[in-house]
Amino acid sequence: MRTLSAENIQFIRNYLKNSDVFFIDVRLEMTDHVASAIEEKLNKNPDLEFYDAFKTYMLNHKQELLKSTSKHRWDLDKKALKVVGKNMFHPLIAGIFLLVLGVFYFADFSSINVEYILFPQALLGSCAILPLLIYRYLKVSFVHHLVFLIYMYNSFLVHFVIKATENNAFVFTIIALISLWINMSALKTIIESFRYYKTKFKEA
Amino acid sequence: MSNAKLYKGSLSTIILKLLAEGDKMYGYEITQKVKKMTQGELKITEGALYPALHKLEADGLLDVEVKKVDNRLRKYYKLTEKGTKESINKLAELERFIETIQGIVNPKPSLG
Repeated sequence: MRTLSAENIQFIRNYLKNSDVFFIDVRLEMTDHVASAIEEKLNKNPDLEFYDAFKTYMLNHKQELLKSTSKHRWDLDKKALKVVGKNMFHPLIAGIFLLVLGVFYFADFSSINVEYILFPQALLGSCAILPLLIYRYLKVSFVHHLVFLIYMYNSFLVHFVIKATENNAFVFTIIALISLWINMSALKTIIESFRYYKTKFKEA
Repeated sequence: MSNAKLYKGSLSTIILKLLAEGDKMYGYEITQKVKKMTQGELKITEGALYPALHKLEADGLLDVEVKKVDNRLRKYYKLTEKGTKESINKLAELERFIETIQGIVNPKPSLG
């Protein structure tokens, strides 16, 4: 049985990358799909060369293949959001949240300065972009979407919700603290996902 | 794929059924198995298969395992406990649907 060489696989990967399949998690699955189809062709016709088989396959399937990769994968984003929800109850994240909540519980809300709460909130929001820069060579679809969602959430919060509630120190503080909690959990999810893909899927 | 629209709604059930019969499968394997079982009548395209697999995965019905096979990484899908239960429900639902359609296409002559 003929199987593709490492060079053949690399050729498929490069082809997909050059066809705008940037995300590693999408490319991984597509590379295996194309490689399996080509191997089947080669085994049916032993005289066929890899490049000819590849060309024939792409002529017939490229459009459908790229259609599937360009589809926004809301389902995987949904899965990532579920992980964010789960991570909110991780002992470290929940512990920090409860600690901050405890500090504010004993505080006099009327004396709270808006900037004191907004500063860590804005800092954490910005932190979501940092892993993207650190792992810039590693593009994972749902992590990129998660960073975008968190950015949008923080923008919405700062521009609308917090501004609308800044005269009510209690409501304002609660919203800001819950957002801090969500941001911490999102950051943990983003870093964990990058680490996982870095160790497991680097070669994809 | 002929009559693609007719099959579209049953794709998830087909995937669940195949995975319930076997242990774990990868994307291309699913397309080939379906093609073989239906004598080429039903060809699942990449554009339909992967979104369906990802939806089932996000819904917690499938689990994913990545293995290195022949110089590349391969993503295997297998049923979760929830997926096993759901596959039974979905199949029963599909069977009822087929019976209903059968009743319309080939109505049994009434005795009265």
